[in-house]
Amino acid sequence: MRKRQGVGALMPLLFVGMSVAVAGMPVAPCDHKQAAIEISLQRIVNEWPMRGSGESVSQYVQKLGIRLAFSSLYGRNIPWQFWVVRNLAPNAFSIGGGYVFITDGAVNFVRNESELAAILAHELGHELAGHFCVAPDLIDFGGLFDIFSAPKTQQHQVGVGSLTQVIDPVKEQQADQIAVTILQASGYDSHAMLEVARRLPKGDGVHPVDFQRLRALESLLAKIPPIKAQDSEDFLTIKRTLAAEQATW
Amino acid sequence: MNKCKLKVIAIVCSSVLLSSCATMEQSAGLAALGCAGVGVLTGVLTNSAGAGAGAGAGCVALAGLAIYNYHTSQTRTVQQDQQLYGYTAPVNSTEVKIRNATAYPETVRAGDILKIGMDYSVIAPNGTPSVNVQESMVLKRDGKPLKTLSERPVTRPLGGGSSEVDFKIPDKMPPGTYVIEQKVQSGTSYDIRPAVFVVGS
Repeated sequence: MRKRQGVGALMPLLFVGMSVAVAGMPVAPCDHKQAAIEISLQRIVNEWPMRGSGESVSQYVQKLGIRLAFSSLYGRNIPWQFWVVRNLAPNAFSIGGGYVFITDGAVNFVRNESELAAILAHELGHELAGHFCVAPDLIDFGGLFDIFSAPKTQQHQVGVGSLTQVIDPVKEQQADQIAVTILQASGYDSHAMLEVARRLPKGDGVHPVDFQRLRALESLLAKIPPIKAQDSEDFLTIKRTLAAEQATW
Repeated sequence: MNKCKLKVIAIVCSSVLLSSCATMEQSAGLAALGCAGVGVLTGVLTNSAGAGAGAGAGCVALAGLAIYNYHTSQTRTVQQDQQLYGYTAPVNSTEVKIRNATAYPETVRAGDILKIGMDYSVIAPNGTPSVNVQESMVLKRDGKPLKTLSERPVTRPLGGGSSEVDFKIPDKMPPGTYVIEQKVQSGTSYDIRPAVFVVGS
């Protein structure tokens, strides 16, 4: 069982570090939401098929997520836990409290490690920006943000499992900005954010194109030169593992 | 042809042959033909004639492993399943989640009946009377798939359900520890759970 760390007393200092590390995004302590977040976690674990924490895919995603999180000062003080959901549809979401979820389908979807890092970094961005701390209490749930659901022009809610998903275009763009910073600091190609957004399945009603978000990303990345990031051997192994699993069945 | 290309072709061919080897309705002779190919290709992949021969021999020995009995039933209503596993309706997507997977007895010998059991939940939006689920099980040893034991589409009411399959252990099944991975899938949601058994000498 993971030991959760209290960060409340350190928060004033962490805010300062955070403002540098993640481009001025506001951060707020979230202790008052923790109980709702834990309920949401239990609900997800009880409802959805998850990969075990000992599986190689889970261990790799956890390792990559931690590497990304530790690129920001505040990220080092959050007890991150990354879960892999057994679902072939590409998706990733976070619920606060350091809990981040990504599906097998998303790992299959990416073409390189920077793209996978981009998906995780976006979810870290929601956490680091404090989005869960200010989220309204939605039917006994603290909030849920999803990288693959395109935001509309106004905040709206959609159902995921028995949870309510909040899509706020402003917060999605904030998470993108933080993700770009994280990717740069971690040595991944931040342009992978744009590649992922452009390549999302289109026309299926689930992933409509959000041109506003794409334009904002293009503008942000125009100042940042792309880099050639080498895929790690771990990443290549995981891709082979998933391919072999699918071939088995 | 370079070595890399040869390995890619071998992998593709090997998976095709493993599939043909696994189909239960096939005759033992046809299965044995596929298994011989698996042995050859395993040898190519591992650069080891011994490993290839071993894989082929194991596959032949498993040709007689077939379903003896299949039983399925609903064991919990939606309400009972929710209460037991602490989830709440309504949901917005279909999910399948294995709660338990067993192999009994844990140690078997040639001629014994091995019972493979699975219990899983089917969760779907309100108003869905039932969902289509694909139930599968694959026999593995040392992490490598040896044989697809069962693949069957079933229509499941929501709630908890169980399935049990009996297999007769063939005479020539090599002693050792085996894993049966059981899988359920509905739409894009799927779950896999292993169960271990030992074939004694």
